[in-house]
Amino acid sequence: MSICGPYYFNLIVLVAPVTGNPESLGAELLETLVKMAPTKEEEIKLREYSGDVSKLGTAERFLKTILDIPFAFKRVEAMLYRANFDAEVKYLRNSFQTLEVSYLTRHLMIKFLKRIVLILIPWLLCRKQAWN
Amino acid sequence: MTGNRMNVGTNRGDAIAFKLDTLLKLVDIKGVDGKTTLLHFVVQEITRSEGTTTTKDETILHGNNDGFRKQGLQVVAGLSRDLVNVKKSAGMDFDVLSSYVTKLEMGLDKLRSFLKTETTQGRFFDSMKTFLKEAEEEIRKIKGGERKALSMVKEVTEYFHGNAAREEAHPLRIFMVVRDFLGVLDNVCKEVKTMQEMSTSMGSASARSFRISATASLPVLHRYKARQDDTSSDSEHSSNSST
Repeated sequence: MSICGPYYFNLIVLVAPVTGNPESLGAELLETLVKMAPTKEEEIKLREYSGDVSKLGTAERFLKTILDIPFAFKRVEAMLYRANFDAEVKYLRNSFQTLEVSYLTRHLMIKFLKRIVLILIPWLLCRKQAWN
Repeated sequence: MTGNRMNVGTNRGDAIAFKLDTLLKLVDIKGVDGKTTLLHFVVQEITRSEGTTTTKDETILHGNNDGFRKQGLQVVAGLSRDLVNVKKSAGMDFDVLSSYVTKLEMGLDKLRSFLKTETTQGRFFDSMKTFLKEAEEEIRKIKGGERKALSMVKEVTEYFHGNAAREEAHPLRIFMVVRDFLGVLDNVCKEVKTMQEMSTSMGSASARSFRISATASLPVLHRYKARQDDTSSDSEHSSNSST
């Protein structure tokens, strides 16, 4: 389904930026929208266009409508941030927890290394004697 | 000499007073056969001692020493399993994680200032303001987790390297060292297992180039010299492990 199709058009313009609920749009779609944000020049051009809207391309028409919403793209950006937030926090939390568990299991490593040393001490002393 | 550098006699509190790197290099020393390393010897010794500490019931259960040996190997192999998080940690990059946190924080700052400047009221902003509060709390927690993790990593590094201040740009290198060691250990375990299987069928002890008695105390060491010409050390070996 095209992003500029009537379905998404209605969804974006009417629902999502109004409620701020990111679940109504997926993160992927929001990301596409953010990338679609017009430059200042394009924005002025679109705003000032007073001709027949039906003569514009689908994308231009879509942008012109979305620009009617105050801070439309800032809203989309905020929604994108929100849509990704949980997953990113979860990833970071898990990573830091993994490091913490690694720390907590260090005694296993230490115990094993001590064991190696205890086995090697007689061996080393033995070698030393052999060299002497 | 290696022995001096290891400072095995030194006791710095609970810390092992030698560098992990040094120890790992040491166990990499090859025997006269050019294949087995000191680590093979160490694994065999552990396998043997695990075997002798097993209970009588298990002796009956397994019927012979092979059961012991396998159990001993499992103890060593179990280390690798128990340290699975260390292996995961080794694959991480702390700087990258930190930069994610910063990125998340910057995004929140942006959102905060956007919500401040915005005069329009409505469901979008109410909803976003609620989210902002929750997100601020989450980020506070995440930053706490980051700080905690970093201090723990530093402590581990200090433990194994003595001086974390001198530590390189990669804060998680210590976990990489351990992961690599566990990899080597896994291979050695497999090899020792094969050698033991061969020795049960062919009756020859392996990694013998390093062999001295596991219970060797100083007077026993004299025997080592004598034993260099005495190749029939198997009798001693079997008497140790058959108890």
